[in-house]
Amino acid sequence: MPSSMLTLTTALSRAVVTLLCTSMVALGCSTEPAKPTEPARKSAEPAAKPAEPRPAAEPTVEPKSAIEPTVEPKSIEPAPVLISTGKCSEQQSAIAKQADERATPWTILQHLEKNFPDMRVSWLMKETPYQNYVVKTGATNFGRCNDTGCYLFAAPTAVIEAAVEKSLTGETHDPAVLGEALGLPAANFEGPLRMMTLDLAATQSCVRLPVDEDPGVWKCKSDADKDCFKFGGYTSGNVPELMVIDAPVAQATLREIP
Amino acid sequence: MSADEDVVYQSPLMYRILRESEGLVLEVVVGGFAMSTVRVRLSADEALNYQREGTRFSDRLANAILADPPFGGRTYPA
Repeated sequence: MPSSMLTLTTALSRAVVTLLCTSMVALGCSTEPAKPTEPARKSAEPAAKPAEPRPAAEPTVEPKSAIEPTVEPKSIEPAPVLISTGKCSEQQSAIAKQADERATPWTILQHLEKNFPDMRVSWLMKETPYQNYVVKTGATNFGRCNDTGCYLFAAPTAVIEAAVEKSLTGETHDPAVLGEALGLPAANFEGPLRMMTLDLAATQSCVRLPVDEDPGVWKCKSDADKDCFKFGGYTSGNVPELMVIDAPVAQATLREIP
Repeated sequence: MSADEDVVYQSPLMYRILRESEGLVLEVVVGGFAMSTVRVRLSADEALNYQREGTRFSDRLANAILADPPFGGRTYPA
């Protein structure tokens, strides 16, 4: 159909509708006959339906929810944490290299990526040794120290935090629950504890896979042994662990576990 | 921990030598990411060796306990 004809037809249709509406205005005729479902909310009960913005509200809500997913990730998404073994001395770098070679194809970087993605590590001490060996001594670094550095075993913060939360029973904690969650004897967790946490991304402390020669290593003699050392980055209770060299006391956060 | 502990030596290796009424006691912080302490009462020979060698002897003894905290059943929780 030519466009002139279409225009004429449209004009005539509108004229007819307008004429009809003029004569039927008292009946509330709508000029939008193409939307049969809308007259009900637009004109049939205009005063009685202020609360019926349901249909009208939906379009305004939906776009919001459609926008939010694109906005939220941008504002909430944490900055990516740089996986790094930190600043290591030549000696520690050499030990780390040997450990990686022994653990092949596993490496400390793979270990960090898989088990320490946020680069946060934690460890636990009973309250009394914490006081005697950290507070009273005014230690600057955690761990067992010799001429080459201070050596500290640590586990993923998320793992220890989850175990601690699980063990909390009102005002105290259940050492059996904590021990079971961390694959260690309950006796290790009796009495008040301190949980220390270090953000390795901030401290840039040197980390590597623990080795047999590290201070504090008690090598497992059988598969049944618990609380002993197995090479590879996991405890005998299968909790990820690593060795932190010179973990600074001043940059650690503390949590009391009664 | 008692108030009247007599600390003879405190090592950066995380052990202490304490003097108690019955003699010298070696306390060692053991464990990996969960640390606790054990103690062992020094025998007369060990006390003598400590008097002779000082921290060289106590370092060796502490390392031996770190490497095997039960230490032949001699250790007890601190």
